[in-house]
Amino acid sequence: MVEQRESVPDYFRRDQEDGISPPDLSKDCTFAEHIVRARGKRTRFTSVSLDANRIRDFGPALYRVRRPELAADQHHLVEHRALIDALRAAVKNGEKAARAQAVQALRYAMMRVEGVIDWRLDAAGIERKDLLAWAAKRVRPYFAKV
Amino acid sequence: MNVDELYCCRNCIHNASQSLFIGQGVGLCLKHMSVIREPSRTTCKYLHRKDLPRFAVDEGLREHAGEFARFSALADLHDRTPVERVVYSERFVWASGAFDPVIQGLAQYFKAKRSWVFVQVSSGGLDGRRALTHAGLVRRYMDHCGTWKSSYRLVLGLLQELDKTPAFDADSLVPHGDAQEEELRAQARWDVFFAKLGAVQEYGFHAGLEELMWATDSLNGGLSELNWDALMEELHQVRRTWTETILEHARQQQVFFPAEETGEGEEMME
Repeated sequence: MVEQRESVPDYFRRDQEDGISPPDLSKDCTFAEHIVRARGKRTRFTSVSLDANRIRDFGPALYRVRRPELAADQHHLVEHRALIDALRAAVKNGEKAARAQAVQALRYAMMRVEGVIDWRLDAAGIERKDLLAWAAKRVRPYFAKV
Repeated sequence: MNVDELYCCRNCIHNASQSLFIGQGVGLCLKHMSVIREPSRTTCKYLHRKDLPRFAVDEGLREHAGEFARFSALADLHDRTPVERVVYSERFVWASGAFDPVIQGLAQYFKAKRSWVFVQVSSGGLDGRRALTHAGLVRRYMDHCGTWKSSYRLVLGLLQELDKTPAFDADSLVPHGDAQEEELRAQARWDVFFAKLGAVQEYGFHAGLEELMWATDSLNGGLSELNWDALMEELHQVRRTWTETILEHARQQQVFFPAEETGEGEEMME
C-alpha cells in the first residue's frame, strides 16, 4: 500500500531581499490588532498569504513558508480559514475597540488571503535591544526564497 | 497590499482625496501643503489614519510618529529619506495635462474665508472619490479644532450620506495585484464607508458620546459578513438614531444652531 501525503497549500510572504522582517516577540496582541497594525508595524505574529499575487507590493523578494519545518518545530500556522473564523468571532462577540479593529481586519485578511504564523520561541533572557536580531536569526530559516 | 501602506499618505486624512483603493496619480497634503508624487510610499509623523478612528490605532500612530520624528515634513516610508515639498501649481497641471478637479478644489482650501463653509459645500454625494474627500476634510477639521462644537453640523451632513452607495469611474480606482475591476470597486466602496464611519466615531470621541464612538457595536449582520447591501439597509435605520443622538446632545449643550449663526432672516433681505 502506498502512503499518500495529504497536500497542504503553500503560504507566501513578500519582504526584503536580505530576509523576512522579524516579529517583535515582546508585542503581544490580538489577530485583529496585528492585521490592522493597531499597535505598530511589528508584533509577535508574521503575516503570510495563500496568494502571492495579493501581496505583490509587499517587498521585492518572494518567500515560501517551509511548512514541514515550521510544524516540526511546533510553530503554529494559523490557516487563512481559521483566521477568518477567528476574526468573524471577534466581530460577533467583541465590542468597542476590539470590534472596530476586527471588522477592518476581517476585510484586510480576506483581501490578502492572509494567514498568520504564531511563533513559539522562548525569548526568556534575551535583552529587549537584542530581541529583533535574535528573532530574525530564528525565523528566517522557515522561509525559502522563490 | 503592503502592510506598511496602512501608514502611507493614501491612508491619511490630510491627503483627503485618496485611499488605498481610490485616487490614481498624485495626492495633495493639506498638512504640508504639498503635492504627493508617490502617495503609496510617502508618509510623515503627523499621519492620521483614514481606515479606523484615531483612538483605535493610537499606539501604532504614536510608534509611527516616533519612527519619523527626525523628519520635519514628508518622508519616504521605505527608504526613510526626506521627500521634497512640491507646491501645487494650477499653471503646471494645465501645462502638463495633469489637471484633476478634486485636487484643484483641495488646493483652494486655505483660500476660503471660513474652512467649515468650504468643508460643508464639499459634500460628496454619490461620487465615491468626492465622498472620500469630504470625509477626510470633516475629520481634519474636527481634529484641528479638537472639539465637537464646531463640527456637529459637518458630521450631521456626512451622516445623511452614510447609507448611500458611492460610484466610481475606472480611472478613480487604484490597481492592486491581480484584482479585477469589480473587486477594486467593492474595496473602494469600503474605503469610503470606513472613512465616513471613522468621522462619526471620532465625533463620538470629541463629544463624549459612546454610542457614536463605538458605532460598530450598533451594526450587526451586514458588517460582520461584509455584506454591503445588508449593511446599507441596516444603516438606513441606524443613521436616524445617530442623527437624533447628535441633535439631542447639541440641544442639551445649548449649541443647537444659534439663530445669529444660521443667518435666519438674511435671505429675506437679499
